[in-house]
Amino acid sequence: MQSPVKPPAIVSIEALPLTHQPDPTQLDNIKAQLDLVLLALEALTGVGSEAMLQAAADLKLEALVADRVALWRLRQSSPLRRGQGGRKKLDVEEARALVLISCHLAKQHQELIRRAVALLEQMTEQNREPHQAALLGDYLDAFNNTYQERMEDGDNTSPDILTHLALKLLIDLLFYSAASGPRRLWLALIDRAKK
Amino acid sequence: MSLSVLRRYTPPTCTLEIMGSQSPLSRWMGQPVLKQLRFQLNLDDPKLPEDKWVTLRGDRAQLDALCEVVTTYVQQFLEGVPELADGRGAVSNGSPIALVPTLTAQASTLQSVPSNSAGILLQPRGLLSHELVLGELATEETGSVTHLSALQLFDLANALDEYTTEVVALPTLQPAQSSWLKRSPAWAQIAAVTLVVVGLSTSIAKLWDGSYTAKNAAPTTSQGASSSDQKIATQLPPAAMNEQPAPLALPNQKLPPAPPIGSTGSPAPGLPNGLKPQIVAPLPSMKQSTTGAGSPVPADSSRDGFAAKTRQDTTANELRVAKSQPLPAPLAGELKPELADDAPARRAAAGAASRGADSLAANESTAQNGTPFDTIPQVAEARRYFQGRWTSPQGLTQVLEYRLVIGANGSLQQIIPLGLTSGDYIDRTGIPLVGEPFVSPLNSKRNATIRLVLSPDGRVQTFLERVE
Repeated sequence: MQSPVKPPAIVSIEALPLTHQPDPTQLDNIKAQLDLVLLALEALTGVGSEAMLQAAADLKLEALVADRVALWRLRQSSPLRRGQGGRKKLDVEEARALVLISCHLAKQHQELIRRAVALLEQMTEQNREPHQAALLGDYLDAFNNTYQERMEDGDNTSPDILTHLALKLLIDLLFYSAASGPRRLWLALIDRAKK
Repeated sequence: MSLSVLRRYTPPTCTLEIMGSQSPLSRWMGQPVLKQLRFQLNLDDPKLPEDKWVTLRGDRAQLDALCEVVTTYVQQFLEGVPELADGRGAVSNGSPIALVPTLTAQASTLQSVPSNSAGILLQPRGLLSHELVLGELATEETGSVTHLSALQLFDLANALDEYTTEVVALPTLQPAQSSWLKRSPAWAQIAAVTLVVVGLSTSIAKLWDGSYTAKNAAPTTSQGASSSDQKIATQLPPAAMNEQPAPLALPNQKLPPAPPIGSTGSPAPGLPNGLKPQIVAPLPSMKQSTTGAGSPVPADSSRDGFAAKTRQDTTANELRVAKSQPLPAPLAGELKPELADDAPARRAAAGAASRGADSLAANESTAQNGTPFDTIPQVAEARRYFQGRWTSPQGLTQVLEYRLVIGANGSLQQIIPLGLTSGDYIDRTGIPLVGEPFVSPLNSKRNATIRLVLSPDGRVQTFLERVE
């Protein structure tokens, strides 16, 4: 008679409200942000496209993110990315799907994210460079390398700025890893894009 | 009259307790009537020395004010991702990564920002530290300000989020609050409640049908986070990418004030002792209740004989008064279409909407027989079902808890034992088999989840967790 425990409730795309249709520039901002959030996740947790596709399957979003190529094209849609070839227009539904996928993955790795933020607090308190903590050092290196490799302005961006960006994204990831993460990320994206 | 803890949220670095007391009227009504909702928030990060722990206490309105401040602040913080756009500014002066408090310049501008009516305010002190101005919550022990680390802010935001999603199901009880109501005669109080409900139902209906926009959003007088730097920082013209990076601006250092939601807390009516709010909002609206606005929360009163009678007696008055009574000022503000395209307002509305949407009313309390929370009759039916059957097996020392999912036709769809012991004892609980008729059919709902708590002393409790 014992029934299996249900998987955690899945936040549906409809739960992410849209009060206005973003214009192309706003969508560009959204794409760039989402790509950065995923980049931070990759750098910290080592998740790759496999895990992202699995997340898409868990969330029943295969229709929007079917395979590696589709995912690559979605992420390539960020205006920050190098090269224009294969760039695809990201529509709102796809943006929502990426929000759900990002937060799903952040939730799966919440413990690690939390540990990284705790370390960052500790290092800052002791006036030490975050790099000196192995977890943060690896994260920052991975983030910087990937950023420089993939982004158009990668070679011209100073390491300090990238470090700061990486750390801000790390703290953001923590907030996205909570139950209300998808709502937080979505509202942040559309509100920021609107300004 | 003792306060008992109704809910407790325990993320790693804080503990939030929601308390209430049972009114003496409970005796006459045969069920507990809760009032005087209070909260206690312990900022008890185990990493900090105990003398740095802070305990905040307050009432329902103050808790709602705190919720709104924290939710809005977190959202603004998240919107402040430094971007590598043309607005790229310096990593702030001072420390190489500006994670330590170096924002004195910004702090002075922030202090001029109006806080909400409870005087609660959050402001950034670098990426990793946040200053919580306690306002009304300040005491001699706490001082006027306390600091939150990133993790503490995260935990606090989550605890408050959980509270706001669950509290929808709890009745609004803040008898000591609005003094203008206390001075008013009974009919005025009831009329005021009606007005609030009508107003909220209207706004909620708009939220519900998805047509909410900035124009009908929650009220706020604060400025949107629309400083020109932010505008620049959020645009990403690819052409700018090749330029030498200028110093990176940190948009989140210029947070606008949190919307003064305290002002919207005040229209929530004070209620005479023990008299439950007579609210006729339909159940779906309850899910969408704008908790952020300190709205009165409908309690189901259909089985509440005493209060129902009061309501009948006063209906005529109510209607007459509803026409003639001018809107209380804050409420009028709430109903007035906000024409300015105000980001925080819209965000608050969107937040409230999705808060409602992503977790439905969870009804529970530690109050025995929790009947004030039986928002659907099936909860009481389930309780009666087990009260007739549950006898504690010999040797059982633990409480058994189960989550029961009930289908539209009232049959049992799923049984989820909570904890190992509950799984072991499942065959002795008297829970019907999956698919068997159990309670009366749900009224136009797809399913409902009820939590069943069976105590070794023979007590049976049921709580509504969600309705879909």
